[in-house]
Amino acid sequence: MSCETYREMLAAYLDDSLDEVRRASFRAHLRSCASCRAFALAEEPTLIFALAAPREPEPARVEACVTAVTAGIRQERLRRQLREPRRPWLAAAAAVLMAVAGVGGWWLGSDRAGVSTAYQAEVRDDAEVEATLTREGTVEIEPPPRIEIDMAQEEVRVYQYAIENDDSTGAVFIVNPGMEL
Amino acid sequence: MTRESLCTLLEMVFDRIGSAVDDRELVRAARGGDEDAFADLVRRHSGGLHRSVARVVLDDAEAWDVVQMAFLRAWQRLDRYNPRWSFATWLYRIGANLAIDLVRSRASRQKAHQAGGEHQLRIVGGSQQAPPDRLGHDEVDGILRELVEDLTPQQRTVFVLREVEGLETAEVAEILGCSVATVRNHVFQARKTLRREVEHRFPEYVPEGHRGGHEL
Repeated sequence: MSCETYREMLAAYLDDSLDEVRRASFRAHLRSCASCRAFALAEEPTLIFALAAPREPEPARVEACVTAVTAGIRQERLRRQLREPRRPWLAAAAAVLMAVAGVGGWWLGSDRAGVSTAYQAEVRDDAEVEATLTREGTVEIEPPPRIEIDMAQEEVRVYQYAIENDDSTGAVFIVNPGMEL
Repeated sequence: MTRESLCTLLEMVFDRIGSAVDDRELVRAARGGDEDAFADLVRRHSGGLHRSVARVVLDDAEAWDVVQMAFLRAWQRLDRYNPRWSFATWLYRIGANLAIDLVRSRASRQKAHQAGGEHQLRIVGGSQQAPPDRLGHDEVDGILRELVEDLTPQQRTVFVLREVEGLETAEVAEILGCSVATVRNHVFQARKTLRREVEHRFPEYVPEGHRGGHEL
């Protein structure tokens, strides 16, 4: 196609009445032909923006994007798993078990009330013994329990820490091993 | 049309068809939970999407954030993807909406910036008479970056996709969820605004004898 033909296509390009194949051809010609480009810019300065050719992105930046998106997907999956337990029947079974144990305990307690009360008091005493008075009179508390549970089937690992000097408050971290550094 | 340009065009068309078919297979695998297939989609489309988004939001880092968010949304809504559309069109739709939201949300901050007035990015190497045949692609992006803020978010998105990226009018309409006539109208209005600004702020790119010659 001659330069003259491309110049005749200019009005149709600006009216958006060129078919897409001819339009692509016109844009390609504008990039490669300096005289047609000068002619077209004189007619319509905004054609300068049609000259911005596609550039390939940096491969490292693309890979960083892939990594970020994949991490986001895994996080989303983990969040969904934690929100919707995969074995809801386990929770139901645990609830039933606790109810049975509670009823059983109440029955035993009502049957042998004296023994039971003494036993409970002993347990409470044991807990209190853990906090012993130092010579200066301040309370010394045992180091907080630290529990690590590897739940392989759930594909998560659970870390539980007690807050320093406060054994009534705990912090639980649930970690997807695949996302650990 | 020369044989060479015809071959190039046919190559473009076949590439596009092949790519769309491969995309659908990857989407099918990703729907089944295949993360690697989805990662391949990210590799294929993140560069192109980033280029368009960066030209709309005018910030490279924020554009990558938008791209990541667009892919995560796409992953979350893969079950809603209609294979009638190309995956790229669907993805660009998500990305374009996020970009427009971002531009709108920071509109007031940008107005404050614009109060400074002067454009600071001059990529032309000191010459006021840069011949058009030496125009570099970075320069085009620099000028666009300077002027695109004069457009509304919708206008700039349509103009970038249609005029700068060269997408088809129908495809831009699908991406933006509007009619072909609306796309044409946005391009017309954007061209009108940009023409005035190019002539006024970048006269070196308008050949002598034609400056200010357009009735607006």
